[in-house]
Amino acid sequence: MAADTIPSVDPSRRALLVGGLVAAGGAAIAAGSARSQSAPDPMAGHDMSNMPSDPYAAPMSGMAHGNMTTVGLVDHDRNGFDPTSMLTDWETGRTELLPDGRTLRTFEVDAVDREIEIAPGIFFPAWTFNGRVPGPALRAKEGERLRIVFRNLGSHPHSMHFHGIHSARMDGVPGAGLIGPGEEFIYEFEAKPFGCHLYHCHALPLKRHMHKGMYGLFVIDPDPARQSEPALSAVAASRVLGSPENANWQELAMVMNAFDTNFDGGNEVYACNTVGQAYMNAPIRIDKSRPVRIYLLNVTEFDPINSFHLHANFFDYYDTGTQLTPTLRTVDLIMQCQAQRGILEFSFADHEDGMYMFHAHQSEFTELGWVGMFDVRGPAA
Amino acid sequence: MSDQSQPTRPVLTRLLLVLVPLAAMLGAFVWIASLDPLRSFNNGAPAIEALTVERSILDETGIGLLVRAGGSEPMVIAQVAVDDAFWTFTQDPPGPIARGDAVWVQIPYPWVLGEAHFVNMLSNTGTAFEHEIAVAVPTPKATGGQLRLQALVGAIVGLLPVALGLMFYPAMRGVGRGA
Repeated sequence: MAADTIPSVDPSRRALLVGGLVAAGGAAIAAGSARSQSAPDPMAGHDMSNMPSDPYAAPMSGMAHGNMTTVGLVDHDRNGFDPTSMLTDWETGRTELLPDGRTLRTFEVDAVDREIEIAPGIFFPAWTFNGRVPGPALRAKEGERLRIVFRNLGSHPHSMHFHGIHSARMDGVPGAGLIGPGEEFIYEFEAKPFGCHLYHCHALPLKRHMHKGMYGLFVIDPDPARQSEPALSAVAASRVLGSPENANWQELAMVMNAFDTNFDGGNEVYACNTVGQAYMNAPIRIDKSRPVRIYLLNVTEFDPINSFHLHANFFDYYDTGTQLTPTLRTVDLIMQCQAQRGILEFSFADHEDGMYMFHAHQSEFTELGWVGMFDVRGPAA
Repeated sequence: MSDQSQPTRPVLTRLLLVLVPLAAMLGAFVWIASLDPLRSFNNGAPAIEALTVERSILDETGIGLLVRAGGSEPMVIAQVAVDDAFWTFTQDPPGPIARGDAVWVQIPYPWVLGEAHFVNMLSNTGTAFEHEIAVAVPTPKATGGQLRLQALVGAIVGLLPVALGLMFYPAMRGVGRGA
């Protein structure tokens, strides 16, 4: 029948074709069985029978999460600022007594273009206040008259916009203290309210001027005499830089910032006080017999929030620092949006000596540089 | 006509005919160099940076990348981040990478089988060069077992069909003759 429909094909030739197909099929089956014998691995197609497929399984030196770090060290001398000395380097300006008995405190701040090393080997074309990022940590006392002499030595218009209470003329926005290159402006206002504040350049576009490095802490210590309750007065006194009550505190200035090194609207390096991983390479020495107070500010651009997490300990948190009683008690994590700031107080008095970590609890920020260590020891150790 | 006149010129003249344009050429070189006519094109733009990943090897020591530089100036890989985490790395050979040169970047990163990873190399200017490993699987190695298997596959696809085909030769010889 079939032969009738295909008369041109000789029956013996057809048998030959069928035989060939059978042979080819047999070869395919043989190949399949060869494959299945050698591949018990579910990730078939990649024969790894002679090597460990899991990199954790192999004995290997240094292959651990301890490798989560930058390579090399930043040259702080070339930068002109050191994250370790920045922690306690408060700029108190110069003071004089006014005829009415009040104190006039004068700060001098210059805007300067400067290339800074933000992680080992990575250089960022920053705009700075006084050549450093963050800018100088200005510190004054509630009720003082403040005068900030601001000179723009940079290549773009800049200003100093203070978070505080002042007149519109002193606000540091276009038309009120925003000055061009080579110009000078003097901001004058009263130091109020007390708390942990900031200043930053308010030139436009704001985003660029912020993330280029133009920000800094602006701390106003409370005046204990203005507190009617003795307990609060004592708390206030402990915050006044240079007072006997303040002497026992270990105060640290920390600014959480980040850098968009390729200007794509996302940060490549995160840090506390500019240099990624700075306090991993040089842990912050803490005397465990004395309490710790951190003035913390977030100026991270592009990311909605930043955070601070302390390992193996809890702290009290004073949001914005404008109250003498804690906003949050006994927490180990706080969040801050951009320009949010506050005061953290804690103690390692009852802890074992050791290295205690602190970092943002956005793992991404942590692993891109915003992580550090407290080296907690006794006073003599 | 020129063929006839040239041999009549004195040697000195002929030498001058070469020396004068030569001097003019040298003078032009000096003049062009001193003028630097391309300087008006220098708008302060930073050097062009380019890094290309040519090979990636995943094994029990982590991730290895063969990276070729194509910048207008020698390139420096300052830091390497994998999946948004700075990671230690070694570069062989170390130092700045000249245009056209390639280096091996070895990252001891605990990659995860079957998952995606994202390597970001940051240059000294902070320029990011990204390389995606879409599905992480170990790179096959030239082991004895691997070579045996490949030889087997080669035999199956190359030798076996020919051998089987030849086995039909005696039968084929008779095909058509009996028809």
